[in-house]
Amino acid sequence: MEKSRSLAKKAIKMDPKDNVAVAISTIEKGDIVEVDGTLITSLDRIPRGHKIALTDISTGGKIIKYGEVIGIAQADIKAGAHVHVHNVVSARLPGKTS
Amino acid sequence: MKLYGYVRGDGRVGARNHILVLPSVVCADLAAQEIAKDGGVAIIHQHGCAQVGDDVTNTEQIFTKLASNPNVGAVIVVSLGCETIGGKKLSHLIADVGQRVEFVGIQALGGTYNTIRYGSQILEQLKKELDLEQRKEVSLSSFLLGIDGEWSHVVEEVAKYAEEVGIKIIKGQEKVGPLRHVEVAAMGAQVILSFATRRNMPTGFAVCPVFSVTDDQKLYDALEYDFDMLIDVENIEASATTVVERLIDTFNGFLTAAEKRQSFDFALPRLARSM
Amino acid sequence: MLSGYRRENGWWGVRNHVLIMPVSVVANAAVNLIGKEVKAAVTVNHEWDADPDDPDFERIARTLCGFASNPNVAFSLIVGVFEEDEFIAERIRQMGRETYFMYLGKYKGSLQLAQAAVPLVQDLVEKAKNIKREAMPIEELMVGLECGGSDAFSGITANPALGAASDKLVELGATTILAEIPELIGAEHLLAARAVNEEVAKAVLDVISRFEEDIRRLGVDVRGAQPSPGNIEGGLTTIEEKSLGAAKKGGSAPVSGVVEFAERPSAHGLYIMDTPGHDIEQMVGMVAGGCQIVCFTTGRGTPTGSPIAPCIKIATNTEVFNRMHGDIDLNAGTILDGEDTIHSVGEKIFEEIIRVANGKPTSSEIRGNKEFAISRSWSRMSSLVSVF
Repeated sequence: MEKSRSLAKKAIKMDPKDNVAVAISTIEKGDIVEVDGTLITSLDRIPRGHKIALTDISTGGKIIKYGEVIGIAQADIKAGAHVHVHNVVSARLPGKTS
Repeated sequence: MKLYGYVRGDGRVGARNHILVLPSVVCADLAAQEIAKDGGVAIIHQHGCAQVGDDVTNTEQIFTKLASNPNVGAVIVVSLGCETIGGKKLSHLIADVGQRVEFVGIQALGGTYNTIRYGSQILEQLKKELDLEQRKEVSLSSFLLGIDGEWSHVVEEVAKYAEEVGIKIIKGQEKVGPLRHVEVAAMGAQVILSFATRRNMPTGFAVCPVFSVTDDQKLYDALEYDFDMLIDVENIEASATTVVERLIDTFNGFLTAAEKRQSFDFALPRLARSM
Repeated sequence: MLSGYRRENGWWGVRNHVLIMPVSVVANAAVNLIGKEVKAAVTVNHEWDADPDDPDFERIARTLCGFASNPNVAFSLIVGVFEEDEFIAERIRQMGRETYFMYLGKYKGSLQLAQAAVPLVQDLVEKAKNIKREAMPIEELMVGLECGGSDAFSGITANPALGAASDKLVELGATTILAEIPELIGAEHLLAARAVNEEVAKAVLDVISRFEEDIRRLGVDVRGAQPSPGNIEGGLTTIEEKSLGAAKKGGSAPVSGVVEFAERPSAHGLYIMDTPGHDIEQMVGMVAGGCQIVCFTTGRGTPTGSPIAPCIKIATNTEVFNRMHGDIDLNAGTILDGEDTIHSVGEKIFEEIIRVANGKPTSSEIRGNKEFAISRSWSRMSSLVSVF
């Protein structure tokens, strides 16, 4: 079933430089998501508060939120993918892995 | 000298039959305290969040062992929901060692008021069940005595006599005081014998009765009513005998001075600072 | 129009508590026995043994003294074990605050001390009633900025809104305190850029790098605690992400200085205090440093409060505001719903701060949440682990 623009889920982009946006409500795989007037199709289920990639990000690439680096991609991330602890690590505190 | 206690499923014996209300994190302290009001004992502490590494596993272990100390008939874990020492996980760890455990979570239940209401109902139910349990006569070898004190001559004498009658001694390595109480209780002690020094004056503990003694007249005079006994240095052997008899009385239900004044002090052995 | 209680040393409080505080864990029982009899008094317990060889002795003593001398406290009774424990009361007096001291050794027992203390504390409660509110200059207000149980919305709604309120307070000459150093890693350059001078900029960078050095030395993986399991469930992936959101509580005002744990700022403005992220240690540190009110944003929902300072809870999202209704005061989630802006919620927070200062109780005060903690800076990797 096609989803119209008015029924699109929303995500918030904090800064123009950002390559991720925050889901305001839970996004299901395949949902159309509206971010700042543009639409993107979600590749994953993205829980409320979690991030969706706005562009492709290659392994080692910077995750930008609030206009700042918030982490480094640990895998190739496609636009529309769920961005979280499974594919991002901190650039500041790698620490020891347990 | 006869010993009477609550025989647990694993054969260990309790000197008390507490309903322990254990907040997994400081944010659940108030709820825990309110739930424990009518017949429970609560451990009020400042820990459970912003902890890392071995400090986390150590804390989980300590909480699990305190909750399953033979003095504890049942435990209610009170959780917030987002803490590092996860309340749900803790209640599973406690259940895994065979202890009777119930769980309430503040975030899951929608706030403090609901949690107190629900938790109090659980406590009331547990109380009805535990009140039916009776002490049975048991062998003195069921008695594990925790030692809170440095290994002085007096301590040695008391320990020697205790061992002669069959009581087992748990020494501990932690700093004397509440930290040591937690350690020896986690190792299964049902009663703690505390030898006071100026830096270790009488305190109490929710899980185990703490019997406070000193051979120092000055210290005894300073806090006479909070001590349980003064040891006569002129006659240590006779004193040691009396101490052991009093400890057996304590095991059998006689309240210590700390229990009478509702002294429930707690300090957690931490390995790292909070994050 | 702001009102408060003017204290003998010129400080202003927004509450009028009689506080009973133990010097060490040994005095907890006596303090509680007094509190049982005089319900109007506020009691705290803690786990410190007041060991003179404690590497954190100065830090903890400063915390206890700062806490008891907070201007929200009209009078305090300090309970010790021996006569020398009076040093805590002496330090409170040096700060210009009136305090009383009793020690267990004089009464030979906890119950005995409590019996002697009850008439004194009842008198203090009566004396406090005679202190009336006066018009209070807003410059005398010091507000702590805290977040706990954070989620991804913290940095989007409640924290920026609190930052707007903080900016307004600072503009009016008041003081606000931003803390939780572990939750500023990744945002410190933004704060340093706003420092009033080079020295403060360096201090900002230093306080964060000191923490990183500390945990490097410890060799632990801080990711177990920062972000916390609840943070991660709520969408926060890394400490930088959490910090960038956390730093928003400080708004955009210049950073006037950096203070130690429980150290009182020497001037007005936005200050950074060196505290852990631990909700209660942080709150105690800020109150010990002089905060009369704490504003606390929360995404997952937490009921914690302070024994002597009103704690205004601000939800980051409407769902948690509704679900934990009795535990939260304000809802910044309306920003997400489109009903409010960061600016308008900032205004609401500011107005609530004034109302609360003037006497309106927060939900934490109504419930009686009075969590207290001592804060340690040292760590030990003991052999204890092997016991278990």
